Amino acid sequence: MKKIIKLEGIPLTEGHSGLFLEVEEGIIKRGFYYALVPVRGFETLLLGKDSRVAPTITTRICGLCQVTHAIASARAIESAAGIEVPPEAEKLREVLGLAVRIYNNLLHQIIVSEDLFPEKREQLAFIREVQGVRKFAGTVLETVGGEIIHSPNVKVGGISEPLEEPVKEKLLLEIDRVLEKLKNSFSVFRESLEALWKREGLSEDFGSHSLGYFATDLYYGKPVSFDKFTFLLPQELLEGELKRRVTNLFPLFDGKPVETGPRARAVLFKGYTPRGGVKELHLLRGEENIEALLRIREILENGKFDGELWNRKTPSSDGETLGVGVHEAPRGTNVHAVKVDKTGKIVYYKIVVPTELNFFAVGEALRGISATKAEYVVRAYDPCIVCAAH
Amino acid sequence: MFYRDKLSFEDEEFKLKVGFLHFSSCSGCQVAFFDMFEEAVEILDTVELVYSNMLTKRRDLPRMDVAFVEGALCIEDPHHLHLVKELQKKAKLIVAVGGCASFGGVRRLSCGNQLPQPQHQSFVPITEVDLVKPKVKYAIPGCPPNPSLLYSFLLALLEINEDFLLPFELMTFSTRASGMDIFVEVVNKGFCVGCGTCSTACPTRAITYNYECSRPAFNPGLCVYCGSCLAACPQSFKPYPQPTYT
Amino acid sequence: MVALNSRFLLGKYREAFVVDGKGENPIKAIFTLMLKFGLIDGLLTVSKDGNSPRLIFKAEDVEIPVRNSCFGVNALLKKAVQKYRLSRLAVFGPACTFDGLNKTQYFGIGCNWTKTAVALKISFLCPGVLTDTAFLSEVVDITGKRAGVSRFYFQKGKLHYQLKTGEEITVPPSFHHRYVNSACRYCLNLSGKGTDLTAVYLKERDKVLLIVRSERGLSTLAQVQRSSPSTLYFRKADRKEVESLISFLKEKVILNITDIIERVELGFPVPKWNDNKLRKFYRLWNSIDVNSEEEVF
Repeated sequence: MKKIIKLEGIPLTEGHSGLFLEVEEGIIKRGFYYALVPVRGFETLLLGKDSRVAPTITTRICGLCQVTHAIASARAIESAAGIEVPPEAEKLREVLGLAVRIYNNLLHQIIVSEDLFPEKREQLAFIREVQGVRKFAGTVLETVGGEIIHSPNVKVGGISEPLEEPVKEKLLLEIDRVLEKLKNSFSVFRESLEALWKREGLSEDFGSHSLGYFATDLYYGKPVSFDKFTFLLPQELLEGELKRRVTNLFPLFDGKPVETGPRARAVLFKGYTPRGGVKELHLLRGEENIEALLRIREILENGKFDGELWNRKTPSSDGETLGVGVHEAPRGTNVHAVKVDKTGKIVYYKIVVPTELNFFAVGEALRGISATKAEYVVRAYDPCIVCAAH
Repeated sequence: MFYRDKLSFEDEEFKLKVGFLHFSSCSGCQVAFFDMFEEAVEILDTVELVYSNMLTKRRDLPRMDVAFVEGALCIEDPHHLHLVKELQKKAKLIVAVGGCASFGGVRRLSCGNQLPQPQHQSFVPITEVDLVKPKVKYAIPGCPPNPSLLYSFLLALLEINEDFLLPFELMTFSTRASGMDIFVEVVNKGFCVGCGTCSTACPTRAITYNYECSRPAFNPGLCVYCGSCLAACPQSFKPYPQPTYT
Repeated sequence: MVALNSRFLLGKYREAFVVDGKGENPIKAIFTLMLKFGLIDGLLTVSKDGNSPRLIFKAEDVEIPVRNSCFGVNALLKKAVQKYRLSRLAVFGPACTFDGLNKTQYFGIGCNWTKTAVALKISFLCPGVLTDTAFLSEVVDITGKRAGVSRFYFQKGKLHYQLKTGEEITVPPSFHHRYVNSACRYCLNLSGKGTDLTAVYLKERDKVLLIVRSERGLSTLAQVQRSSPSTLYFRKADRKEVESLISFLKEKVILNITDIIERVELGFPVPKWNDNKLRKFYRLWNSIDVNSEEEVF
């Protein structure tokens, strides 16, 4: 028997989202995942504003992976206006990006811990352990970025605050202890994840799909051609009242739906062979945390950041050149595209966030699984709905 | 007391039922609660978290003693209209957390016309929604509010520290906030001592410090209307119990 | 009710000492020693001329303001706490600095975990602060000559300036009152209530009158004294010294209250004595009591 199930509000995820499922004999035949939070209009509200304020405004798209929007936005404007950024500033931005990756991925572990630990006591112990690591990531964000959430130091042209050697040393001193903690909590996480899969009777390839992968870099982000993105409207894709309610676009890369995120980065840049299924998403995310921490240590140990890190040139362009800024956010590739006119005002702004790209991947991954387990797939992708409906 | 009306103070079993929900926002305020790090775990242990899209498995809104609300309400979104009615029925007391919920915040800039729902353009902070206004007892400024501010606030709420809570109560009556407040209410009124607290409080560095004139310098383009500056200014309201003037 | 007694003018205090630094400014010596012995990990204050805030980490870099000019101390607070992650910060400035700092500590608005970051608060007795330009015009008004001010001090209940030319002048409160920063004309906390210690600069460069307000202030002084016994010499201040100070404060505060009353007459918001609030809080934020009568057309 065929029936349609519409779920609204997926618990243990960020934001307000929904699922549209076509179910036959309890098995999902077709699924759509979509955002239901209102469109805030960051692309339109920036028009006519001085491009130097864009990183500050766009960082407020998301409170979970804040700094990636600031970085992508700053890079987009720099590329549109041809502003050279001091290489050390780029390195510090990479540190910020990686810190937010750890900070955010661990927040996701906290969120899914409700699923993982049947015992409240164990759950709280796990959260306590993870918070210890998040505290360090928060320290990095606060020290380098200025604030934990919505870093104001990321500017068009660089970073407004240098990182003096003693401050850097202070951060480096802590890393070893934090790394130990991170590894411990990851092994607890891995064990309880296996237990969950067993408890729920989920197969190893639960939630697999055959889509391609999209990522630009392992840690920071490399330019992509923005023309390759096309967007489907919910009005074109969905039926009934959902046309009027769904608030995200469905982007395609090269005309095809793709998956972005930790698995895409692993496949494209680490030579990883995907096993399929969503369990490995959790695990790859956990591994990325450890790699990110090691990378932070590497950057900080090998660089000096106590000079001027900010090219204060006023951005100005011809209003036609499309500047593209890319950052590898925790959830995948975050792309901002901007056009700046001669006076430095923004005349065009477009944002593609990783969760938007992953909507199709979630939909595909739902195919063939039991309708009662759909939420596990959604959670594994760690969707950030507010980003998607920016 | 407002949220303990049926229970006696000696009731050991009493656990404050807390919910966290969001309208149109970035979720940053909810994340700021987690950024108390280890302390957040203690608080999760002392109160009963009955609703949060991130931490609980509930889909419907349960009855709660205190609802922490972040974000502004989008008039064009039917879900928000439904949610605010539910909130009015289910919450005994509402706390507006952060700039968007309290004063409009960065949502004040929204102008709509963006795909796929170009009609989403009108956002109002919950302090402006008359339906729930009587229940909105406190507004916390900031974008996002500091974890330490949220921590102190939660403690004050649990202990019913009126002295601490009063300014936050007064802030619900202000539906507008910006860095201009510092000029209108403090500098123009001859109250600026040049201490620089507003520039420290500004989360976007829209307020910097003019060393030549020893006054704040305000760059309106960067302001996100979070209300931190005036709230932090030592001249704005009776600051703290320490020195008394009587 | 406000009464112009010692309790209101000077605040609650435990002891008053005259501290002799034997050739060095005792406050500077205290900070230098504290940094040297690791009792604090940073000092937040302003440069010697009071024009720009300073965050000092090393004992040899210590400088403190010696003019009654001190602006923007708290502008560096966020950097000190959130960037440099100082946890035993010492702060030196006038009372208003501590109004801001104490409020940030109490509520936490604006700066993360300031509550646990400050180890010592020392204020200086402030007759009202001035900018460079204000100093210039004031000195010209009093002496008829252009000269910069190098330091200020109190002697026998009067405010004095030492000019850059070496000349020392007495500053009449009524003149001074017209040149100070506007907010200082409405200030009722000249002595820095709400701090651990209050320093009053005296004629001799190496002496201050130190008002000890808190237990923490007292124990800090004891610690400093233990770590380096022969740097500072303490003598209990006699009554006359404190009383001359109170007479100065009284004179200034009466001027301030007159100005406040003038504001009341004009309907301007008045500063926060008792529970008064600024206009926005007064009218908007506190509009619970607004009388809304129905209009009849």
